[in-house]
Amino acid sequence: MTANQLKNKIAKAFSSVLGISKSKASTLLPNTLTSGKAYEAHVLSLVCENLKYKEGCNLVLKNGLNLVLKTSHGPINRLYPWIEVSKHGNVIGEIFTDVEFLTLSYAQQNHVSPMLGHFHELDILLVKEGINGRPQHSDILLGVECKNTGYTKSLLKEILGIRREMSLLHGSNKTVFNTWPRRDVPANPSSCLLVYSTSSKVAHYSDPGNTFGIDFIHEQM
Amino acid sequence: MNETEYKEVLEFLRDQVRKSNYRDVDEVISMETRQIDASRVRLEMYLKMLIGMVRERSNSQAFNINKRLGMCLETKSNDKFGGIKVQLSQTEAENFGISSFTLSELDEVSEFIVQLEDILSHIHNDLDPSDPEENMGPRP
Repeated sequence: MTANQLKNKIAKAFSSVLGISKSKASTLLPNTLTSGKAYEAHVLSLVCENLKYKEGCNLVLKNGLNLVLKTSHGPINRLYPWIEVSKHGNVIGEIFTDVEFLTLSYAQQNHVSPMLGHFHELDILLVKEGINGRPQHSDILLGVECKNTGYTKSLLKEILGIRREMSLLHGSNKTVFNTWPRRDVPANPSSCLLVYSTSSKVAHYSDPGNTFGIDFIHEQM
Repeated sequence: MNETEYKEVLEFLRDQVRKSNYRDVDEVISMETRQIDASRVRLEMYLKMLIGMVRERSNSQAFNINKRLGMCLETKSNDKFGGIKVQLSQTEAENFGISSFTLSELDEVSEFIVQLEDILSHIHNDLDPSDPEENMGPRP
């Protein structure tokens, strides 16, 4: 096949998608927004699948039939549906998306109301049952960050900072999980932290995670 | 095809991507592939990533996500899981004129994906005339 033949094929393929956007969302919204949320949804479905089939949890969607992802983070808002996670009939926690948590450093100081530096967001959070507002760092059982972009050093530094504000580096502590995502973690409180990335380069940055208890997962859609 | 021609095809492909609804992915893919020197390898990698990113923006991906979640989630009323809705911030809603959308309303682009995969397989199967090893065929 010649270069011109290939270019003709490419032009023909792209002519088939010109003006294909029929949906309001596809027409009006930037692709970065829709694809970022689509990846978050994909990861959420994998997290649920792993909790159910690897960890043996029971997952119940509460307060509605649709899950709602938000493009802006905030405190837990129970007006939106959430997922209740139980094991052997006992509720172990609840899953919320796009939620901010209060940091370890905030807990160690005596501020009355948190300032901007006292909370950070994670895309998916499994926290202890019954939490309202921003969960404390010690309420977190599992945090998940989804990156549908090229993975860079700055993203590694960001997630190391998140880990630092979730728990202290401390020996090996039992998590609430038996199999997935981890039975033990070198952190106190013993929360798990996962980073899903579409970039194969995430593997180049994953080694510090072995020390701090961060699992990096290369996952394409 | 030689390296110059592959480079020419890659530039043509990037130009098409930048003119399409997928213009923002060119920057992401280029960042991931910029350290690849060989134009043919870079073109293949660019196409592979483009196919993946187009697929993730299509409603067929939403179908798979909803199916997986539907198998995992129970509902209190025992009704079927409804799907995933994305709620935009107030500023975005004002800027884009839309307050929310469901993943399943994204575009159907399966035919486009098939065509891109066909182009990829042509490149993959194309023998490099400057590479005698590759053109020798199986050794007896």
